[in-house]
Amino acid sequence: MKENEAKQIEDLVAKAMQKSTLETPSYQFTDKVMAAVNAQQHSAVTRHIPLIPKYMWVAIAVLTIGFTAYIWSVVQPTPIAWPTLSFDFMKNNLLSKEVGAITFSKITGYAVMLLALMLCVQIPMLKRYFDKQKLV
Amino acid sequence: MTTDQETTIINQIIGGDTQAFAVLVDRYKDLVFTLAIRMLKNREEAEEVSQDTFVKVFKALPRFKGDSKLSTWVYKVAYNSCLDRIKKNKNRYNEVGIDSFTENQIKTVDNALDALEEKEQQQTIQHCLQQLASKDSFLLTLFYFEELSLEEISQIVNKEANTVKVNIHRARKRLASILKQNLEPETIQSYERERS
Repeated sequence: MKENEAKQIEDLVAKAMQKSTLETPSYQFTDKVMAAVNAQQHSAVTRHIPLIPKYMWVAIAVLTIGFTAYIWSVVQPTPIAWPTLSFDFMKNNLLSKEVGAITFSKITGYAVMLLALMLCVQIPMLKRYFDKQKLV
Repeated sequence: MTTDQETTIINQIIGGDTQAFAVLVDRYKDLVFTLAIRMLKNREEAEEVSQDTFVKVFKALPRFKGDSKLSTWVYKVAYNSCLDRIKKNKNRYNEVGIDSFTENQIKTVDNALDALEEKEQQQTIQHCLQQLASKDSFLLTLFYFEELSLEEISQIVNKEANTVKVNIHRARKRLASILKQNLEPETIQSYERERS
């Protein structure tokens, strides 16, 4: 009985579905899709073009190396007399001594470390969030 | 598996011939749109989601491996896009209960449907499909229009083939209930009057 009922419902629905028609989107549907696809393609292409192309980098490298080699061969290097600088004043001034005397408790140290760690976690999360927003 | 012609088109698109994609859009737009309209119950939204589906397909085309039919993959993208839209809208389309039928009732509905003119029949059925729950309508459309196997449908909706079979069975019953409600009382009465 149940099987018979199922079979009859199956036939009825098959008949109804045969009589239903496929819906058609608007006339310009394909054009709209293609416009969206082309815009996508265009933005993808512009996004990945570097400002300075590879061959320019090669040219810059060749020019720099060539110019340096040329200068090297024309002008013979002479030892440069660097002025001798003393950085002792950094050790001896009052501020350095004051700063050097400051000591932090262990808890402060751990807190700063934890803060740094949290920052490291937050940065990639924020980056992903903003990247997603850009895509939308 | 993807047909040779489709593989050629896909290779053309991946190779940079964007215009070749229009062939695929023209091939699948009607069914994708029908599936979207059956799920979303709104023409404008269905058109938006269908466009979105094709843009997604275009973007993901280089990742399509070809181990399933291209159509199956396109319908899967359409299904997920519709689900996303439903979730976004927080739309809950009417869930129709499953009535129990007697053999006579089914026959009456069947005959009442026959009694309608061709155009009226189509309108009634479209109206009934509009009232059917999104997922039920989607399953029946794939099953009857594309004549996809249960295995193929299960790939699209990401469910076991047996679950799909049960879902289609319930969807049929719900559609029959809606047909019964929509054809009653006038049509059935007039049919019965004619019969007596």
